[in-house]
Amino acid sequence: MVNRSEIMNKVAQIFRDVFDDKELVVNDNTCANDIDDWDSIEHINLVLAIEKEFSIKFDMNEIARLKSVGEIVRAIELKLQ
Amino acid sequence: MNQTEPVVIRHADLDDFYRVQKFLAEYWDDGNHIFVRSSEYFKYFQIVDGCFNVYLGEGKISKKIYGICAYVICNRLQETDVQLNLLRVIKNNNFFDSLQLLDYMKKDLNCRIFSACGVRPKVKVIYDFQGYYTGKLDHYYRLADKEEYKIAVVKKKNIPQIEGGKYSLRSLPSFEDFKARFNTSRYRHHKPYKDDWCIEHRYYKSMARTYQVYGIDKGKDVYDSIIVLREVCHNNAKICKIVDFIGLDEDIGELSSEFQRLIDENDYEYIDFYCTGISHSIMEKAGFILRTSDDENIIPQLFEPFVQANKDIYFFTNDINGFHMYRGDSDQDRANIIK
Repeated sequence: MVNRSEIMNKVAQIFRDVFDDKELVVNDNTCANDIDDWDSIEHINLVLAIEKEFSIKFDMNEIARLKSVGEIVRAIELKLQ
Repeated sequence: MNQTEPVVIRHADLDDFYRVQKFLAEYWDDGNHIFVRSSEYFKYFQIVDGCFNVYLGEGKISKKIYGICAYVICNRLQETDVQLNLLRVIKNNNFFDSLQLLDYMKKDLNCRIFSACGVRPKVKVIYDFQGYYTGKLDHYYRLADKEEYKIAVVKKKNIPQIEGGKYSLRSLPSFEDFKARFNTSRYRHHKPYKDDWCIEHRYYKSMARTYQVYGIDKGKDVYDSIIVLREVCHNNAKICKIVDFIGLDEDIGELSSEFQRLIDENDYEYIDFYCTGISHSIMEKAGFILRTSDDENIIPQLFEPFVQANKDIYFFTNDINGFHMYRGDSDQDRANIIK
């Protein structure tokens, strides 16, 4: 069972990879407003990377609800339960 | 970015025309898109039978447009074939995104073939994610044997010595000539199917381009295949682009001598052809070489403005089985300058 902290660490690394920014720091409240390049295309790139990392799948309605890092981590937790 | 509101996706109305144009002015290519600079050209492309072929997502409260997707149709059948030619969704707080817009469009249009030519590499992920087939058009070219090239950069003069071919090209200068010698409905099963209206609109009534439509003559009164060409002049030199083809693929393989004749008579530096669906052996038989990623030659694609570089064209389709696509599809042969 992966705990929340481990999920958060992996998600943070995915954000750094997708946005190609080694210094990027994210927390539960980080949302698209906080990262200039976080647009709908990068959102899909994030989702694809998360799906690959955790071997899970999101449907389109779920993707639309992933508005912050906290919501992403929570959604992963639910999928892994 | 502060407002949060539901986003309503819908087909645009004619009344939305100038709002959509304003959206493009604000959010596409620094307002430099030809559809912003020329309302007439925008109308030529996107308004068919009084229908403004655009979908948009707008705020339920603010009515602000957050995204648009424009399309062209290939025929006037009820279950038509659609090619996207513009997709732009701006960053927003509502997490309205391109996925939702495309998904809505596909369901609402209820089309048979849903595709696009000229997908930006970065955006390809959207179509991959939705399960569509994505790929790159093959780029074939046939060089003239010249001392000097003013448009292409030729480091390796790779000219196959292929002559012959049983068929010849016959010009179809008017749409009436076209209709008299070619029956588009015979190819209704093609993906996509381009009907008479499409050919007339794209090539005989083009607002900004001059195209040459040729029938492939096998000695019969009616042609099995047609090919559409466009000549481009630049730097006191000329090249020829094959922009479309309808018919029997193998007919192209019998045109090697004819392509050489066109090159010689018109002093073209090269003829090139972006395509998917035509087999490599047919293109080889027609005397064309496939431009590969390690090709040292440069066969320019962009002329408005001229860019002396190779360019790949990406596409997506909902059905790759038997699918054909060429440069003339979506808006890949759209003018960027109205002369």
